Amino acid sequence: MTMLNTSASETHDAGEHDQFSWADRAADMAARITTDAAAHDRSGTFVRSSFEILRAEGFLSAPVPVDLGGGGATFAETASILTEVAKGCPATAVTLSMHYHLVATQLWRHRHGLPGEAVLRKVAADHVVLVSTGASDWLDSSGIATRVEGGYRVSGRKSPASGAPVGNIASTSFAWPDSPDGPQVIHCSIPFSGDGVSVELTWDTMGLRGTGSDTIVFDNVFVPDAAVSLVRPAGVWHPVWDIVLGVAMPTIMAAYLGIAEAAAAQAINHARRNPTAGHVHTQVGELVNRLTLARDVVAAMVASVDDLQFTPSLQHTAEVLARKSVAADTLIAVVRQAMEICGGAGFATGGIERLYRDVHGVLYHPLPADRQRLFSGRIAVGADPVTGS
Amino acid sequence: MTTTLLSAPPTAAPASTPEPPPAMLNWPAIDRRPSPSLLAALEAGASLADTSATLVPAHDQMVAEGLFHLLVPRELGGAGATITDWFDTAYELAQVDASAGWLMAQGAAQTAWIAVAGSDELVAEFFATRQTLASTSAAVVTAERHGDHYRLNNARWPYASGSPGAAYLGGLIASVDADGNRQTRMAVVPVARAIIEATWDTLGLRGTASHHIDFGEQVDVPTAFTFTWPQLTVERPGTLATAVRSIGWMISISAAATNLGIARRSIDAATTAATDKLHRFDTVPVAQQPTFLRSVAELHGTIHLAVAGLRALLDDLWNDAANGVDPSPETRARLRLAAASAVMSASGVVRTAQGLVGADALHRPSALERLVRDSQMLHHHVAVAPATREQLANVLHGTYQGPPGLI
Repeated sequence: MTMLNTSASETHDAGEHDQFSWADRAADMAARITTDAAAHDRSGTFVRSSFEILRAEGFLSAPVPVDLGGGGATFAETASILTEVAKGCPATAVTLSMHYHLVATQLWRHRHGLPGEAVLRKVAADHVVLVSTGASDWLDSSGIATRVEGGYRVSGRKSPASGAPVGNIASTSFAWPDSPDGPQVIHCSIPFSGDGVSVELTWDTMGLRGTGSDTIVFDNVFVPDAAVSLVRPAGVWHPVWDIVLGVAMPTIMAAYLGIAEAAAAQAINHARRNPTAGHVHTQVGELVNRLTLARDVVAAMVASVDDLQFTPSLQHTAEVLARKSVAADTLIAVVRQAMEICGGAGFATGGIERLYRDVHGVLYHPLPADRQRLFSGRIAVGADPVTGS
Repeated sequence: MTTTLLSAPPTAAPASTPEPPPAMLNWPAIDRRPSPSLLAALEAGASLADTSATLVPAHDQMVAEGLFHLLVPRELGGAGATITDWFDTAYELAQVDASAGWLMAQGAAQTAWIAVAGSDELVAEFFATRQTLASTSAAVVTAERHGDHYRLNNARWPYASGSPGAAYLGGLIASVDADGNRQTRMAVVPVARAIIEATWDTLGLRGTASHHIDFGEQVDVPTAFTFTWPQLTVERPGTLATAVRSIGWMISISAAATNLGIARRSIDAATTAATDKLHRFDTVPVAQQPTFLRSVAELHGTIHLAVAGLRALLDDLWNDAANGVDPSPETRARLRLAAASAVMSASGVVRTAQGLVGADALHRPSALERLVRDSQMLHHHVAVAPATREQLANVLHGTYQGPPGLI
């Protein structure tokens, strides 16, 4: 089992589970879902059975503080859950990371005196699944919002939305071009059960085929003012992204670390069973080097969250995104190296081959590498991260 | 139980004056380049072959157009093309469908081996009509010589690319001769005498249908239906024989031509996808942005350099062979290392092209999605494996101990 380092200043909720028990429980769960993982990959269907287990065994509310009815897992423990689950089913882990980063964002808000408690209590009490559409929205968002009495009417298609087939609440945003203050974006929560909300099964990809990252369709949906958490100018950087990215990227990367860990374990076992020329040992050595780097970078990302006590800033965001790019390249290199060690067996479907396809999903979480370099470079020289001016 | 694999009665002319059997005279001419209709058929069938992991649908059309007989001398009904022509054709086909490129590159090489090293009996039967051999050296089956045949034990091999479309199957066997020396040969049988096990279910190159083949637990193969391999015993001297007598480099070039074709296509696919792709926070399409343009320029340069380099090396080898000069082990080692470098460069190009397009490249309808998987297969092919490169470095240092034919 691989444990992520925790920050020295990290505070623990007094939960019923210690740090090791969450990871142990996740490892146990991973062993139970691994067979279904291959089947869902084949069929491209959502890992529904895994989510039933997550719901039944309290994983969905693991990060929610105990006094709000949750499991009380620290941020590092939450990350370790994702790493362990990914070893059994990457699609389950990556989908869970989308839910977890939304929960963690609410928890950051709660710990900093901002509204968030209601969502956290709902996650704990009802085991609801939160679904993010942020990957396709970014600064300008998409879709369209129109102001009406008591709220907004929103329409649009949001994809990818991991976990959409079992989602309960969509955390999303819409462009509001006709705002009296100029083009704005509204951030809001919308229940999947609401009128005008539907899911189209559009997800058909190389890897992570079981994430159900389908398209949510919003057709003239009413969003009351109470469900709107933020209205901000469109197309410009807003501090909310420093919170969201600061929390989300370490969470998501913890899941991908598990994919690389699983591939490395398979490759090392293969090398043990097939003693051969010395070059294989060198390859394993390269694998170990890369995996060590990946673990260290992801651990640094998790530590930077400081159990959701971190202070958001552009500099912090730039560092998180830089580490994400480095980790992404390294994690893919680990799986590729593992494939090479396994030789022909690595190409056959069902083993490292699937992990190879799955790990490539890491490239496409915000920000893609070339965007990240531009973003971090601009911040380093004191320029605006969006306009460069 | 021992099975004897009988062949048709020999009909060939004496080896010293090879005359084409009558049937060859009716073969359609070979244009040396795939026809537009073939390229269209390959493009149309690529997705189906990939999805179902079945043989490239236009395989038989490739055979009919003579692409598997590109290197075969004209007197045996082939095109008598050069090894550079062979490389160019595989490169062109791979841009349309990587599996087709690999099948043609390897299929044409195997047909050339029969033309050079096959017995008169095998040549007469094999070249009586336009058909293909799918052979594999991914395992070595033990065999004993008994008079005019070899007896093979547990004759089963993996990775016989193109086997469902082949008329003959071949597998590597090892035996010990009267002097106690180990000898390796390729044993060839008609496809009807073997079992093809549909085991090929892989990350990429799924249309190659590189299944397991099984000749049986104990089977006799006439000696005339075997030839030494990987060092061919030349039955028909000439430029081709001189060039391909040691076959190892041909496999490396097959991998390079195919992966370079994949890489070339990936640049086009990325550019096409980027032409209309507009990020929400951008004002111009991705294809017009400096980062994209710089990257694509570098990718074009990488591919052009690799293709030009390999073509030059192949031209040199062929010209030397035409003058009766055998390619030296060092020449062949350097060619294989250049091919390995080309394979790896091509893989890097594909990965970069995928990254330039973004998440769209992960979706199955995207051309890049399949290109990434196909390329990854070749990146890990034995032709570029660290152990192979280690051997080749030993050749350059004069310390190589392995079979000469593998170089």
